[in-house]
Amino acid sequence: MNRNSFTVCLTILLAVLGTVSAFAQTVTIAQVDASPLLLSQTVDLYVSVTDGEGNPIARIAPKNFSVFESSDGEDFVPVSKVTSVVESPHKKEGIQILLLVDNSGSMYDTLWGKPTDDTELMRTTYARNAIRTFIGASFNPEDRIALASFNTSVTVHDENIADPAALNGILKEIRRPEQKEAYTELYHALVESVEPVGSRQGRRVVVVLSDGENYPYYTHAKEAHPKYGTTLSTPEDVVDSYQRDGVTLYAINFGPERDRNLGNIALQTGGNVYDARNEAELAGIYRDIRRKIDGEYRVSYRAGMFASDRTFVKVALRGVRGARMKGEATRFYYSSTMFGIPVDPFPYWILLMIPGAIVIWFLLLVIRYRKFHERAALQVLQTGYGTKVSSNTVVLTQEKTVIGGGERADLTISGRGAPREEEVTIVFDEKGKSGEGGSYTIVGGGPGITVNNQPVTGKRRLSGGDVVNIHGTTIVFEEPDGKA
Amino acid sequence: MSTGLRRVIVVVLGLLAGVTAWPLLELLLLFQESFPGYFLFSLAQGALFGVVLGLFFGSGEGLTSKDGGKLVRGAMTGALVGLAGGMIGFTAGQGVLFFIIQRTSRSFAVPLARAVGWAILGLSVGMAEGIRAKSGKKSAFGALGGVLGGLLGGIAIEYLRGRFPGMLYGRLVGFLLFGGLIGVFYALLERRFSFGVLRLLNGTLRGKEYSFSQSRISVGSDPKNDIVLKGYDNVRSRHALFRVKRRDVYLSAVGEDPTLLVNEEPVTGGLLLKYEDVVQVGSAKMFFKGET
Repeated sequence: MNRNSFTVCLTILLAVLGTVSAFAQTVTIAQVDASPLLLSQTVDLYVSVTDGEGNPIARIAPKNFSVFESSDGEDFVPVSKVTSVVESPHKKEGIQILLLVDNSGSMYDTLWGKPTDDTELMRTTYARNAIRTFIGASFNPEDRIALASFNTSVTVHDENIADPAALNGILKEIRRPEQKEAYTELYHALVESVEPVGSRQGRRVVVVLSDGENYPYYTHAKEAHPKYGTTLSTPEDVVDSYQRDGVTLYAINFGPERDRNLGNIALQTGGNVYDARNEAELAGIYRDIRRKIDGEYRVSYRAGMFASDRTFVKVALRGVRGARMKGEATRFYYSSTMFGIPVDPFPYWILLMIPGAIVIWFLLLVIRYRKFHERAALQVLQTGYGTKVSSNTVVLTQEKTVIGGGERADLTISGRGAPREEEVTIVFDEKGKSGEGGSYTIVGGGPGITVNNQPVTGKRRLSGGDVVNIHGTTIVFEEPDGKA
Repeated sequence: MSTGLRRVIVVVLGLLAGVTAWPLLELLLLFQESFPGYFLFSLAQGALFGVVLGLFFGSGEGLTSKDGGKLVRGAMTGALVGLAGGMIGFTAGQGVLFFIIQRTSRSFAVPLARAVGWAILGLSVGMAEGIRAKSGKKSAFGALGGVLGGLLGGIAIEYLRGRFPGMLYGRLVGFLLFGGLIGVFYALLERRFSFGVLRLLNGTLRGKEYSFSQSRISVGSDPKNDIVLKGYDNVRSRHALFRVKRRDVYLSAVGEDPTLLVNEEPVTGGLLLKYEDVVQVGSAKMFFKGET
């Protein structure tokens, strides 16, 4: 190869590489929405595709998207069907946005970190103007925009700003904090802010604007935080909560200082991180975020069935405008079922518990739950208040059975409802006509003594099931079994 | 059989239902990936679970009364109600689970969501006996018992899952608690909302007790009655009817001239019963008392 040929080849190679670089794509799964999973077995992915300069790539054909799933995040299989790819779905459906603004003490310094009393020069003034610009420029009636601020604690100022014109009044609520309220609880605020927006339907975004690093109250004030106590949130906590709730975090570092983890947190949630040094840049960033969200794709696909608590999903983009295959992103969604995941290996012996349970059930069926009497008996059903009986059951084996208050009685009733020494007697007559085994007669009686709630005076023949009441103690006369 | 013993048996039936459902559902879980989607999978799990619990709880009345017809009808009705309730309850529970876990990052959300799902499942299963007996009141306290048992059982299942993730018996213990607690709460609520107990004093059913936990109780020799008096003389197919009105129990005869006595006096019209009354239907004698 001569010198000229080498130069030509090198030029062509560099040109090709330059072209590829210019068209290099970044694919991000900004949000996974698995809410239709139960009824339609569908999962919606909100996918952001940007070129090498971070600009959203439009008009990507559905066939370029491939979706894969995995139970462990390693072995991915293609999903059975990508049902639809919709470009810019949020233009019609709106976005759930929470603007989270730093209101710590340093926001009242100048952009260069110098203390000032001139309101116009304060960072918070620039931030408020940028919020006005953001909401005013991008206000979509379908959007739901909430505004919150944070320092030592989080304050939600409005959950749904219905009218951009009302914003000035809302922003006035953000006031300079006292010293104890001036800390930058950035991570706690991010975790806490995901709750209100995460419970909403559709595309959910938190945009945080902060001028400094996480500066927890507990660590620096050396005392427990009034709300969080001694608990400190970590960047991992923030990422976990955003991923679980399917919320994207866009972070804006405002001023010369920045939190070293904030950018990485935002990227892991499918969002991005920006640096802003003045109001114009801030407004530009807000517009860029809006443009990126508007430029997303909603990729819907038929989900697989994996016996796992989490299902990982991967989106790969192929062959867009001649670019090399670079775009690939992975997220997960919760696919936990009521019973959880199966036991592995399956212990087949546990199936023996089924016949075991059936045997016990059968025993319950055949067991007799009552005592059979070969002879007649007296069964105490209930005793009167403050009254005791010597026995609950008395089998009538004698010619005479005495029920009374004395110790010599066969059934002694003692206490408040005790009768006199010999109250009543049950007399057996072998030649009685009421059955083959003879008949029984109750003898005695008087006030407070009844049979079937009828007074007894003198004597009365008993039949099975008759209820004798003696001063509140209820006794059933039971005939031998076989006689109804 | 006393109402107390009958309630103990209901709890035992709940435990047996849990023991039976556990291996069947473990087996079904093996085939999760063969199902086309979570909806059908939830329906299948709910159907299996509901049928098993419905069979056991539905057989309770027949089992305690030793009435073969009642046993088969109760088990079949229980299975059918359990099938429908299980499918609805389980799918609703799975929906609640998906709804909650995809909307909150709180660490207790997943176990709590599952427990709520279990409570919905318990509600469906607990109503089975009330539906079988066509009693709104029984259905209501059955549902409440099911919700409480399901919620506590579900919390237990989730606690054991979290505490002993590799333990094979974690789900079994949870299932036992689920079935048993539904039985316990059903029994407690039945007792709480009972207007009294009727105890058979003689004959083949001597000692058996019936709780007034529904607003109408029919008595007769026909198996369709709530209290079936077989083996007694002079009992008509549908002999008498107990009605509960504002916590008072009234007794009236069905048809003409049946042998129906209260305290040895004939019943005419609707007679208000009081505790310790002795009711005689044909040759059968019964004692009306309060819950003990």
